Amino acid sequence: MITHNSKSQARKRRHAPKPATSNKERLRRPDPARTGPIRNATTYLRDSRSWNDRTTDSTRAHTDRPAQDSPDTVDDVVTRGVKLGYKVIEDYLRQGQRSAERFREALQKGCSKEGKGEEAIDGLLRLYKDMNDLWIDAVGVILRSPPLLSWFNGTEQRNGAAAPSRGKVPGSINGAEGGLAIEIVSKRRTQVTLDLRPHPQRYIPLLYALHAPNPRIPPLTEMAFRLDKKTKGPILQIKIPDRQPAALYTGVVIDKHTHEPRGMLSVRVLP
Amino acid sequence: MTVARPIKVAVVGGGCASIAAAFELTRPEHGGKYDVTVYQLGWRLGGKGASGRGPALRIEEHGLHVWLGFYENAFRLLRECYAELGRDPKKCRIADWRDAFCNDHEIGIAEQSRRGAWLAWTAHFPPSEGLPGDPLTTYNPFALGSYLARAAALLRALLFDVKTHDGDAPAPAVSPAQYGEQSNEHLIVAVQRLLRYGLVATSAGVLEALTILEVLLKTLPVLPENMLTTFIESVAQTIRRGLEDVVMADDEARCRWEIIDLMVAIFVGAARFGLLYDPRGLDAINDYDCREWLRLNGASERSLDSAFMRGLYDLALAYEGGDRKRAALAAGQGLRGSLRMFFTYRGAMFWKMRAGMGDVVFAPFYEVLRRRGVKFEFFHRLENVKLSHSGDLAPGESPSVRALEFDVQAKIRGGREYQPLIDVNGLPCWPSQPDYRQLIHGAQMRRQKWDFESHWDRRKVGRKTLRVSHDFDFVVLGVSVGAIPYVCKELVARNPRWREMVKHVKTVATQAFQIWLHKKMPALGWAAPPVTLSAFTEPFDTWADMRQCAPEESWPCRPGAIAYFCGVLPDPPGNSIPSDPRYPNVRREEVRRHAIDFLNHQVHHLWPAAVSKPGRFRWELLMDPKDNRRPKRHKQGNERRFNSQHWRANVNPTDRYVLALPGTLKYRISPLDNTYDNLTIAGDWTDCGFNEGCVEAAVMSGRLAAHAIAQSPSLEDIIGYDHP
Repeated sequence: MITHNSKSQARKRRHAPKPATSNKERLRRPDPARTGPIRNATTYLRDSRSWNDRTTDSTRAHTDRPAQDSPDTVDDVVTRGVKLGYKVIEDYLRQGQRSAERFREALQKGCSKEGKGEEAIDGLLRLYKDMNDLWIDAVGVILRSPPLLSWFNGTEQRNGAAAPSRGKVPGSINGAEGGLAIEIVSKRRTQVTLDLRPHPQRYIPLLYALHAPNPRIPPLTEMAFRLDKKTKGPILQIKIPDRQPAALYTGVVIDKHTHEPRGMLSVRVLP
Repeated sequence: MTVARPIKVAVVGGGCASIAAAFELTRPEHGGKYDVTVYQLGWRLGGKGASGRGPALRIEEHGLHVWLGFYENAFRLLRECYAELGRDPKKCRIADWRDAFCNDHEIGIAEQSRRGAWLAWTAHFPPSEGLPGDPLTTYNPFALGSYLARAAALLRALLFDVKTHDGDAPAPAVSPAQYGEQSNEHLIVAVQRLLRYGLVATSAGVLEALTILEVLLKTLPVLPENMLTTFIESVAQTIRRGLEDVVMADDEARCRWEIIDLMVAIFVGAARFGLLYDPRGLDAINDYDCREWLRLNGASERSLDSAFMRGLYDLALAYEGGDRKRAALAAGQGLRGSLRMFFTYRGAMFWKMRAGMGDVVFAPFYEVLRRRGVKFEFFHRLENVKLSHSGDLAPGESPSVRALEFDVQAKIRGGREYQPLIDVNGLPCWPSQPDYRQLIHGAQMRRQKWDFESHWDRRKVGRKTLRVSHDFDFVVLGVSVGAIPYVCKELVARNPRWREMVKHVKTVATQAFQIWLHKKMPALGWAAPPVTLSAFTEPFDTWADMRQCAPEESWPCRPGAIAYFCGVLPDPPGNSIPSDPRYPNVRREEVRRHAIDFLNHQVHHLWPAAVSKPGRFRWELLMDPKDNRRPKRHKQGNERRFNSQHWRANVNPTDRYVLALPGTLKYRISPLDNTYDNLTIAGDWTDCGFNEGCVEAAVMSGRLAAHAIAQSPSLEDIIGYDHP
């Protein structure tokens, strides 16, 4: 990058472009805030909202982001990364399911007698299932690794009292203990099954969405683990929209910090 | 006394970058703050994208121009341009930007089989959500999550949709979205194929899983990198071991495997080189050649020499000096380009223009800019950019441009403004020749064949000097890098970075030809959908089926097929551009010979019915604009008939394509650079975020140049500028 051997006065003058000028006065471009793109990985996660506002208004003229505009906290970043990961795999599975359905519909119209159709569909579904299993296994391998776990432990120690402690955080649970309340807001008849695996340490559970087998059915998204103000214990709140189709909805409960799967939540909305 | 006045901006050159800068600086929101004048060589705008209407009002391009679905900046500005233009669809066929393009979902590559025959592989890339230039509020195409989702789509496309065309009638294209509409028989075949390649698919699933891991792990400040690398490498080895033997016996499986093998190498390389955490992003590997970097990360020689790989080099014309043996493409930019091309396209991967690029891009911009008050000075050839004297600079003052010197190539009768457009059935278009009637001594110029766009034709009728603060305040230098050594001698001499830039940022000459045929493509032996195909044999490795342009031309009998071909044109020995004025004609004749040989000896691999026997193209297929009617059925033509077609040797310094060679991108200078504080540069040769020769890079550069002057648009509004 070129550095100007300018004195401070000259530099100050260049920083303030004039909207209009007197005749014969030579204009100078202001020194740019930067002369290259931001290439680091934070741009993977950057907010793209600004791309939609055209920028000719002068109030936005100097609003370039600082070069190292990193996301808020480690926790936020990890959460966002996990969300991205889940979204991609969910999208992939959903699309696979859709393809499978199309195959099934088309084959059932004319080819089921040969038996090839069902066999093919099973193969297709197995393929997608295998991919999903591979993914979960791989996540497990990596996330159970000692270096990563030690990093998390180190973080807690480094952050001291301000950092969330998995052993003492209100609202955390472990799979072995009871006392988890479930609150359902629904006008429909509903069955809820929460299957948490035993785990020696306490953790904060997290859920994103529960999906029905049919990808056309919208997922259940209004649910969260919270701290019950009265009992100071964890509570799982689930809200079923009135027009939610009857189906069995399932999703994985994960540890908010390690993202390891901790169990399964199933909600059956009855007709 | 101080008098407020608009800021005068001289834009030199009329290519994509210059026009984008002018468009940004004259947005209504600026309230007329910038008084812009465009100085253009010859009679038309467009630079390397200029086109003209020739005999039969046929479209004559500089080369092959296809817009890609990730050209977000280019499409966005063009859409705004058409919206502002407000053409009446009842009066003009191309009133909306969507009228100007047609989608091309077929991408093709050609490969020589082990038996020596050429196979053409085409894959259907399904339409993706949205359109290029749409708002991005809810969808960030540059997020890794988006890349992964698109990777999944690509793999699905490979599994279902790759087909070969070896002369037999091919199966119709099928997209995943269309599975339900296909015949049951086709579906069963598709499912069986899927299961046959289950192993490949599972491997692809593993790769996908790895990328998910990367999403998870890249967000952690402290990373077990060794563990990740080891894990990825061991998976990659397993995949390779398991698949090599299985797929090598089958051409189709091999084609898929080669792509997957390359993807494995990319994943391995990303981990090994720490690309996800490097603040330089993909630029960290720009000193490597693409193939070299992939080889380092385990890609097989077979994959590195695959048609897919050659296609990527062909699309980037990545041959130094035009020499096929010197294929070179900076790895980081090559990877960035591939990610953008395959994973961030919207609507369609390729967008083909329905008419000439001049007609559908530069004519609308010209009209809108004229309405905004932009002045156009045609027939102005930049000769010199004069700098302030070093001794005149105050302490701390940067050097600046004090004058621009032009040759005036022609003057307009009556001192009027040159009117550059012609009407083609209601559509404003650029002609292939200037309108000599408007020029003083125009008839004489025509007789003497003045070539206003030739670097070697220096004839002029006068000179003009623009002085700083009188005639301009700021300069947008939009000529291509090939011309910089000739017109910016002082800038180059004064600044070592400029010297390094002109030394390292290289260009390559290109050759192109267009043919119009009586017969339709199926009658020539190509029954697949219209395609853009690369990796074919030299010297014309890329072919685009441009049948969609036929209705826009004015032939007595509409062409059955239109085909554009292009490739690099090898430079003569030595590094400098020859000064011999006969040089361009010698090269043009060379291209004509190449085209004739190509049609006689190569094209039958794509169009088997276009030859009467091996080595003999059916010249009677070509349409001559002088013919009033279709030639007699069995009358044989000869190769002289090719002279009625259109071909070009793009050897002018400004016409040469800009290369992205390994180890050179760091020498590029950004339009934001303030070395000369009243000058900014614009073009696909600048450091513009996407450093590869294309329309999108030029538009991004033009927007950056506008930002350098007006601090608008903001850098975040330049889509994809901040990209790993």
